[in-house]
Amino acid sequence: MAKDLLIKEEKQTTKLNNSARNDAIAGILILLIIAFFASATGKIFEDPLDPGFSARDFPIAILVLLTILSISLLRPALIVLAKSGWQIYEAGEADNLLRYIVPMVVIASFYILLIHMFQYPVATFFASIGGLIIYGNRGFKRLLIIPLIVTVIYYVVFYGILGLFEEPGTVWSYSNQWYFRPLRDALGLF
Amino acid sequence: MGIIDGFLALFSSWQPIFFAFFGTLVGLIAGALPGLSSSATIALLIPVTFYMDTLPALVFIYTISKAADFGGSIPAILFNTPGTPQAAATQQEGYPLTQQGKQGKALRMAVIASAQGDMISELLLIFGAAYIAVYASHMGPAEYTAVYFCAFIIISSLIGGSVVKGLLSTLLGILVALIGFDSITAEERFTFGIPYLLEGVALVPVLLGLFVMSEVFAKVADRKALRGDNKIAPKSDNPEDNRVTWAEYKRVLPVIYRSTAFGALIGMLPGIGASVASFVSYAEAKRVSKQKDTWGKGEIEGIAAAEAANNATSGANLIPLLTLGIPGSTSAALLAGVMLIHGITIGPTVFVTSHDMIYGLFASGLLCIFTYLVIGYWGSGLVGRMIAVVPAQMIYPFIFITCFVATYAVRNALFDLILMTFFGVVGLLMKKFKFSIPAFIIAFILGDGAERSLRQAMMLDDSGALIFLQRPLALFFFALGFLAIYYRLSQMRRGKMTNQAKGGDLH
Repeated sequence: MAKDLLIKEEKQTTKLNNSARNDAIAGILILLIIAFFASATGKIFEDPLDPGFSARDFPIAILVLLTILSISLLRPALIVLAKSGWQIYEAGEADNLLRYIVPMVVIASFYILLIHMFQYPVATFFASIGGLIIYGNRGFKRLLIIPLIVTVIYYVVFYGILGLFEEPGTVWSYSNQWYFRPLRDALGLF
Repeated sequence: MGIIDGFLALFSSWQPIFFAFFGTLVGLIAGALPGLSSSATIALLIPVTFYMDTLPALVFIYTISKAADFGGSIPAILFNTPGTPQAAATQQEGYPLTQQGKQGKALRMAVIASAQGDMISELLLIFGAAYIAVYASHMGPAEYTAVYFCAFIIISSLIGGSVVKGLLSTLLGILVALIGFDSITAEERFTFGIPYLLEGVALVPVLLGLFVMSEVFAKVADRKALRGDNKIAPKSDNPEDNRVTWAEYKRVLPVIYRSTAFGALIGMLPGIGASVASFVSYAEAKRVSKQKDTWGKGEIEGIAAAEAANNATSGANLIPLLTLGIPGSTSAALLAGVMLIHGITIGPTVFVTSHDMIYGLFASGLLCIFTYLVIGYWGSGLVGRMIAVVPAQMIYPFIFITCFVATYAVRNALFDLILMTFFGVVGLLMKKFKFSIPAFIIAFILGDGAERSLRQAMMLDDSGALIFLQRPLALFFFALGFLAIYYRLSQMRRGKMTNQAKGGDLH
């Protein structure tokens, strides 16, 4: 019984610490955002003859309110963390972040770079393979055949039928006009 | 009569009709897919609407959101996994019925209650909104400032668990809306030397990043849900177990009407979504029920209460949007975004300037209800079986790819893809730290209008801020806002000690 109570109390403390840690990180991040935006408020032109609120006043009011609220989020969080001896690490969370979330964000960033370098189809084919792998898919069909089919469908629908403009790639450049033109002609889209 | 004009507009060409049916089907499937919310689906499909005429575009978005509200109940009943957050209340009674082999009864009860709640709410919208709009059209900048203030306060304090985080989410949304040329004096603000930001942060990258990309980033770590094995329990052979009998229907009818009233009222308040409505109605139906011992074991009154309230919000939350320009929910905010993109000025004048368009939209709502009633009554099981065969780990990577092409479609700019990815990370952090994404989005959409009203009001009179004290309607809305925050803070103060004692959140 006493052991159960102890475990329960420990769980409650961990939950409170996690909440405090999250609030502290969020508070600090928001203060950084405020500082970033505040540094640009001086560049907003202010007409001295402007009646009422000027173009600079409203953003300043918002930034002041944000500062007050983020401090009110941060302060109690820091007090709780200080009392707990700054226990902020939770096993498993960092693991998930590094194994799955960060690679997914990296793939998203690389996808943009790949579109810039090789245009849409090549980039989409490789990015979808990357996404499928991180999402735990395996096998020839799921990792090669399906991405290929999906890439072709998306390319035809968005660039062929809907006529999106494709920026030339910086490394490999090609125009989709010659192969989509007959399709668009056939559909009466020109 | 407006609604007849609306039907004439709807049937004037094949496109609005086609997109009403297609939107209903997409909404049903999207709502039924756990993890893909109706807001996320709409956000993904907004760029497609750029290629459509205005009425089909609005009809498509509106019918998706309506049908998804019901679609969420399908996996909640069949797999014990709600397709939308509001379907979690339906799950409480729906899944126990499935375990007894009575999934047919549960699904049919859900669709009947949904359609009935939705229909009443839609009629309220059709016959009530225009009257409210007449009063709203007399409002000036001072009154609008007060309405915006009231909406921001309600959105901040009532969405999510923390007032501070709600307010922070709202203010951050307004801050992002300030980027670009100021709408009154055209001064450049917060562009940080990036030419793409001169016109402001585009809506679609923000929507897709916060709603969809953040979900793609978050779901990748949820390995258990990704491997989820959706198997439907065997169906009972007794035909009575697979339909709603007349006696059962008569028994739940008062529950449906009461829950519809709750749903419609809650739906009209800005920012409070269907989840609150369905849980409040479920709890109320349980409280007044004469058969309390059957609750939690498959009580159809519970399904009826949750579903009627959930769908009753969908028409009602267009009332603040169309009369005041304030979206009542995230779906309404997305619809507002599509209206703005197609050049429709939202607010009370919309009933005059876009009369046929608005009534065409209402007519499509009625058509959508009828369509999902038919599909849902006879085809919910089929939708469930379709979902069961598509693994989540295959769906998300293609949602990821779709986000990019959908964002790029807006203005063919790679910069928008960077923005969308950035907002995806922001959305992930907001979810992790329990900030309100709907509050951020609604504030982002309303931010510019709120600033314009405030500055116009201050220019109107030499008395400065005192102008707000001279306008009774403005005072009323300011008071309503303060009352909302006072109520929420006192409610939180009462619960704070208990919550902290249980090791809950600090805010």
